[in-house]
Amino acid sequence: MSQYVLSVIASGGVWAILTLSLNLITGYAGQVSLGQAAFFAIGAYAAAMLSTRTGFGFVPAVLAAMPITGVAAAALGLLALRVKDDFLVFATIGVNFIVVAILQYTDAFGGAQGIVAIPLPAIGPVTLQIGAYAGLVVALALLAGFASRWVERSWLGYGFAAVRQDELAARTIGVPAAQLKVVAFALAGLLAGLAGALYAYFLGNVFPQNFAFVISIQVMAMLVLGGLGTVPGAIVGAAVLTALPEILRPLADYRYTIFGLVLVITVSFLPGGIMGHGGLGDRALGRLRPRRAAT
Amino acid sequence: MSFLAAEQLSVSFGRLTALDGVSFDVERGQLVAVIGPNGAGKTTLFNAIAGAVRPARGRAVLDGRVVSGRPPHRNALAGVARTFQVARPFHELTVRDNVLVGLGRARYYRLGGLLRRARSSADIERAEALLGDVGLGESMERLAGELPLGHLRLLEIARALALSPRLLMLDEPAAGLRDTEEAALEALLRRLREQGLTMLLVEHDVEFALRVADRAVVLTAGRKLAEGAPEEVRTNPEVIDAYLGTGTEAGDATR
Repeated sequence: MSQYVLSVIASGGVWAILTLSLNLITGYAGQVSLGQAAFFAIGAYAAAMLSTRTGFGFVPAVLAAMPITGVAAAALGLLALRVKDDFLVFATIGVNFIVVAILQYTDAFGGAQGIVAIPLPAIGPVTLQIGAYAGLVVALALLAGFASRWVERSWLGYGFAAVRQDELAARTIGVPAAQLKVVAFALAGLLAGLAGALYAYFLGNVFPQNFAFVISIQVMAMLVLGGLGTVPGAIVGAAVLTALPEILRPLADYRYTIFGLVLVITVSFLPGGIMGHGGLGDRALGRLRPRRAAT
Repeated sequence: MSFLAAEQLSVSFGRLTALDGVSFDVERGQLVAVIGPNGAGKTTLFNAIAGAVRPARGRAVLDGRVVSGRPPHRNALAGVARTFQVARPFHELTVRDNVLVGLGRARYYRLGGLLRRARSSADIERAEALLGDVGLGESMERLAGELPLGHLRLLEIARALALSPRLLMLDEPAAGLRDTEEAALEALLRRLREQGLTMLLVEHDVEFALRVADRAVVLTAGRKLAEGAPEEVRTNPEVIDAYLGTGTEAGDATR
């Protein structure tokens, strides 16, 4: 395979992990986040700075970026407990802009020049060329998928499903809704941190604009297209929307227009997404659309 | 001291006093009905005891533990289970899974419990037994959102029973039910009572409430008007007066 194809595969794996991260918060726990790029940024910058400034190797940098992002996301989750539904959407959008602004205007984070010259990823003495790196990223995406499925089938997953569908009813039968939301943000932070760290090593340089609000929209489009609340959906959605602009090269310049269109069309005509099971995506997305009468 | 004691419960919404110093007791194993005309404060009283609404004054004590003003999930762990006036099932989950969520209980509070696989065979058996008990054995695989109202009410009761409650609170369980559904509900409440479950029932349908209850508390305009056995309440002139005016039987005043 050409370097080009391999790099598309590697980036597809990164998007799949980030989409799985959003799926934990939005698909499972029903908390709509349009600021996922903020967590992605924290993971990427954590890995980039650890590697260029403190000499962390690839593996330790990635392993450190995950809990750092997890803690940041949990802290945001605590704040998010104060807002619900539409207001949570606005708050997460705000967080995205704040994080980008901090990265842009703080010298410690490299400002607009970003963090450059991240070394090539290496495990022990072996430097990972693009082929090996693509394989590693895809393997980690599948691992993240299996971990998500584990969550889905655990008591945590049942608790998330209950909170997503009816928070008061959930609390009434002993589900600690607030605590579980924070857990959802923390777990999503771990995955977003992983995705961000892998992305930083993939790009070699990170800039604030790599994590702009459109990235949050892109990830939401991937999740909604694939099917909100499903692991296969998150992976398929990420794969399709990574490949589509590459296959339709003339359209690549309009990729964000495509993502927006995909979001609108999917929500309107295929609310369950490609892999969605009956009405699941439909219901969680009800929060983004005018409310329908309860059945 | 009685099993459940409401002590001078008062609730205000802004300037409106919805509940004004209501006290009553429920003994262990009793089914007590709270009845009253629209706007009497029945649901407010219910919510104050369940922890959904914080009382301005007073408290509700279940077996020595204050339950009013405490978060619903804490009360659920302490054995207070409730149903809703407008049924609130988890629509996208199967009937069986709705009950399974309730069986999670303490496991939601420990990391080891959270990450354990739900749907163990023991839990599934327990969920199916509960659903069989309430008469939903045939519908376990259906999505809760597809159930008719009568079945939703039974499902909510099964889900509440999954908490192994010490007190089951029912908010207008008979509202909107057809006669056959109401009969099934009545039979279920009688069976639960025979099993020794303590229940508090808020009900607009006076006849239904007085048929199933051991005792009744009558509210009007946020205050307790009367309290006693169904027969005493039924013949209490003040109660008759509050419902429809003098000379009419309370039994006619179910709408």
